[in-house]
Amino acid sequence: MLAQDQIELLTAYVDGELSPRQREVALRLVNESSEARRILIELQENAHRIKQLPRHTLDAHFTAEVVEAVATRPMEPVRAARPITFPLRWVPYAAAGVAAAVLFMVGTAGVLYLAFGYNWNGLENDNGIAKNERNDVAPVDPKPAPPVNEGDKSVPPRKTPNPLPGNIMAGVIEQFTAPIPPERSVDLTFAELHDKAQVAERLAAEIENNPALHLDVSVRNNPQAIDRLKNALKAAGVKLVVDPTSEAALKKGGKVEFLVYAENLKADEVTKLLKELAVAGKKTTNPYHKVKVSPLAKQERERVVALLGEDPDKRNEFTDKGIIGPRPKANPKADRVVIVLPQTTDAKRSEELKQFLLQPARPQPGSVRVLVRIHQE
Amino acid sequence: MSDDAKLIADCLKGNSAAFGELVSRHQDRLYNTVLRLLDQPEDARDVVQEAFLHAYQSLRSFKGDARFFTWLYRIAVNAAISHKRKKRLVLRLAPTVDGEGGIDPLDPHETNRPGHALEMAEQEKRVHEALARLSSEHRSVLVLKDMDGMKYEEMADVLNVPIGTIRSRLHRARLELREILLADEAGAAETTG
Repeated sequence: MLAQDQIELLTAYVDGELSPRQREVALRLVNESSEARRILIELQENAHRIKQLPRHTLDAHFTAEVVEAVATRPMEPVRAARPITFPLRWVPYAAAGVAAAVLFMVGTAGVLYLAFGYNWNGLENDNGIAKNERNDVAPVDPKPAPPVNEGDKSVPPRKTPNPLPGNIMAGVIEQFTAPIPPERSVDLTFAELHDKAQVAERLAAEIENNPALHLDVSVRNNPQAIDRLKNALKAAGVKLVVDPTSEAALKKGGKVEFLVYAENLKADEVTKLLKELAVAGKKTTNPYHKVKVSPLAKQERERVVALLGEDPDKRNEFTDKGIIGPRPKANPKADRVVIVLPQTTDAKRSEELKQFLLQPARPQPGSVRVLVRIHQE
Repeated sequence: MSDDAKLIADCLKGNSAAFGELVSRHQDRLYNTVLRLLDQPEDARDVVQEAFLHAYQSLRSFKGDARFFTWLYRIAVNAAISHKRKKRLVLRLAPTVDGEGGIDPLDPHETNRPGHALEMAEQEKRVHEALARLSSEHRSVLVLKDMDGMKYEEMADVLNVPIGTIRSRLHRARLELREILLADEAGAAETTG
């Protein structure tokens, strides 16, 4: 009997959305368990059945009918953007959550007050626990308490206020007033990436959260940008190979777009690489200007498959039919290769492309797939 | 600028022919998805038409941060689910009619092999009926994934739910469909045996 998480692994396998490591686990499970094999085959057959459902076409008049109907319906003006994007039915829950958080803070502060009193500087509570008996607590500000008005003996000395509730409140406020990050993409300039740590953190989070990325990079000069990328990759121990069709386009110049594809870089390496590219040169202007980071869309993935001439997801299936002969055994010490893809799908497979396709252990576990579109402004 | 984006820009300038081009470009793919979410071809046609009209009216609010097709899908899938919900309410009050709302005849090219068309039609009917027994939520994720080949991410965009929800819905939907089809096969075997 398979466990729930094993069945989940099988359904996700059918969805085709497992990471290389998860896929390995799934395949191991299928190899070891006849029940898993049976379930997987059934699930795949059912998915295939749905896929095979016949496609129908609408009648010839449909388009004309829609265009005709459109003529009678004017376009609506753009609605003003709403500051809150979640449905209003969540508001009561959010309000209840905030109320609960405030109650929790007040309660916690009360308990702490009763337990330790106000005197945080002395770290000595009303029960007489001495500072040296609580040496597991980090020392705090050794500054003496503010001077007390000596003349007025009737007024008890004013104690230092407990900073805890204020700190918690500040954190809560910060949390609730933080800008809502865009859901799908991060749009930034390389100058921002270089100057603002916050931008770099956000970029790193976006890259970390996506197993397949699309980077749309605007550059000021194509050859300089590719050259710089080559050097940055080399410094990271990765080789950049350029397909001859792209090499020719580079030499010819002009506003041609180049697609760079990598599948053996870790998320942190991608972030580091972008940061490296963001560093402005001392003498010349940085060729890298802007980057938009988003998850790799299906259309883009299809483009990669067409230009590579094989589907990276189907290489390690049961029937690994390598188009260009048997694959070499994995060699972890071999160069990792990133490629500037061919300009067209018709081009004959070049030595550079073969070098990329034949690199061992591709993709490595934990790596992300990255398609970089470099285009000159 | 993608071709869709150019056509949208033309539409916004008042060129309705550009919208016609957008419609003819996406209509069939959209229709097939909606057809599998609903049971009646006429209903699917109406929903797709309404989705295009709605898209046209709201075109100014399309920001271009998603693909036009994904945006269109979102409108159509929501309309289909809403239509189905309304229809169910009506059906509860009206007697059911068997044999209606089938699928159009198969493509004639498929009928070359003797018996093939019959097998295909039988299989299609079974799958279609099994899908019809699923909830709208389960049905929509299976159709978007298996028929349209969408990724979790795109599906999350279209259905406006988190990716985790898509994953778990698909998991449950696949298991439910499997159970239905297994029970169906077992029933068929008993009948013939």
